[in-house]
Amino acid sequence: MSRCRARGNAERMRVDHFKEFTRGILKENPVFVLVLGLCPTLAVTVSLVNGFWMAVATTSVLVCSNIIISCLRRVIPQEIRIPCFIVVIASFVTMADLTMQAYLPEGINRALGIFIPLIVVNCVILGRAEAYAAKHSVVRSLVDGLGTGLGFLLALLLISGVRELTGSGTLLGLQIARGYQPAYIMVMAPGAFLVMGLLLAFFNALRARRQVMPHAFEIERPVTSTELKKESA
Amino acid sequence: MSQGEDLSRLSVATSPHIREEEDISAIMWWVVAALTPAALFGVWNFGWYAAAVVVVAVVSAAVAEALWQRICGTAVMISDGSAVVTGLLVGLVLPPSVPLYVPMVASGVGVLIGKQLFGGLGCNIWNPALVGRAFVQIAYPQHVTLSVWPVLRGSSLSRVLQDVRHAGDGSAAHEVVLGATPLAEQAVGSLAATDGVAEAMYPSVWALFLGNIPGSIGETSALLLLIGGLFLIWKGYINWKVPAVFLGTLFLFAAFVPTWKIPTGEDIVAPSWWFFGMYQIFAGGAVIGAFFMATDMVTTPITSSGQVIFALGCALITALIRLVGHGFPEGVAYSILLMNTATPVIDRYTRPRTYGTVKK
Repeated sequence: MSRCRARGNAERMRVDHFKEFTRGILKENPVFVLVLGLCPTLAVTVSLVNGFWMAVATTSVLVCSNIIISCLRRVIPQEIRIPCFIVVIASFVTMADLTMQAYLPEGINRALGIFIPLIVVNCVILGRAEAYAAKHSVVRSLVDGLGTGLGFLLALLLISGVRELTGSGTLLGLQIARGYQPAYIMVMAPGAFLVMGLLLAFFNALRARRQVMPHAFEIERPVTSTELKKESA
Repeated sequence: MSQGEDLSRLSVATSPHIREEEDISAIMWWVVAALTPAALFGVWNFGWYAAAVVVVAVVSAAVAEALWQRICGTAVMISDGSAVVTGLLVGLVLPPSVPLYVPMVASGVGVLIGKQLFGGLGCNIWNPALVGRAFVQIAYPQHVTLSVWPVLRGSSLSRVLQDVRHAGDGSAAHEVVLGATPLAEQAVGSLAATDGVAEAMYPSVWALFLGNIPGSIGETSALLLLIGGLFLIWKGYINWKVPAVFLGTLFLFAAFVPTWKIPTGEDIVAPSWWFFGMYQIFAGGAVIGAFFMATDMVTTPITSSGQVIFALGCALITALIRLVGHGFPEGVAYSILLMNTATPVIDRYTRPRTYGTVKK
């Protein structure tokens, strides 16, 4: 009896964890739903490779900082929690930065440049620390970090894929169509805003489709001047 | 007797209760008519390829509009002419040497992103044609910033281009013929070091006015654009103050505000204030912008005083981009787009007093 209940409990926990995990991917996607962390999203998504490594760096920092902050959640004083979070995040960002400089090709490091240190102020990470890790257990914070990170990764891959395809005519550096003339605007700043806005609109439209739109009021057509003349005649 | 019956017998219509027959489509088709002379002149000036560019722009604007409205399930409103006007303006502000996918992309972006995504005609913030033009200017700078000298009757564009490429000794001649509209020359100062008198380096004001100069397809002939614009003013579709203030301010700024771009030196005499002012008006897109784009009913302020502020801002931004800024020879398109952005603010501060109330 008790074993049975325990198993049910464990199953429910697993379902819960699964829900926590997928929530970050679709329902609360950091880029397309929460619209957080836009600085790296717009700045480095020039090519698929850049977007991938940016998201990997962010996700690793997010998961690690979520775990540590969740461990420390009972000893961090409420009043100075933000500085504490930032110190933890900054430590992991420094690690990620140095690791990437050591092991990744020079070109990728140069392309990502200042945006890796800037992960410190990424709203996604601080937001998850404040809204989730500071209030939940270590395992749940880990799952939440992984889910949110995966959502961030998918969003960045989508944006950078579209931008690389239209702006350079390539994917992962391979030419896709021979005759295609790349539109430079897509790999420049305006292209980032355009792609971001269009994808955001697309996902909003998908969500709005589920809701019933109220019908507009029908307004009677005004009388035209010739009709008025005819009537009076 | 229930209330529902009462309401059903009452015919409630919103004001205006009497209206003119003239509707959006009539206005749009008259605008098309007003642009036609300039378009025909562009074809005569630059050759048949220019006609292909304009036609592709118009057709793709119409197709983009129809496709979008079909997908969204709303009524297809091609016949109201607004997409045709957008396409025509896109075609006219492109150089005649662009590959044909450039007008296609420009019209598509202008109609879909510039207009339909904001809710269609009447809801767009920016002039759709200029959105398309700005997009391709950044997307394909290698094509859109080029321009060619006019091709006079009898010779095809490609042949002249070939002649130029073979005749010139390398890139210099090529560049002068392909790369420089009158404004670009002045921006780069490329010809500044040649002759004694600065005015000799430029086309005469008369040539600029008639339009036998390099430039975009429809922007070169100030005369025909003026005729079309005056016709629209006579019909009452556009406010005469907008082009007057736009071109007047541009003239005054160019003529009397000293900027570093007027080439001077020991053996070069600066152009007279009259020449330089006229030059700024007639070389480039100022005339087509002032008459046909800064007067767009949707994206410009409603009140007359607001429109004057709008035109003033356009002229100042144009002059700043052209004469003070680095890099861009032409600023009309960006100035109008920027002032479109400011239109809601202008509308807010130029709201007329409500009839019957006292001014505070």
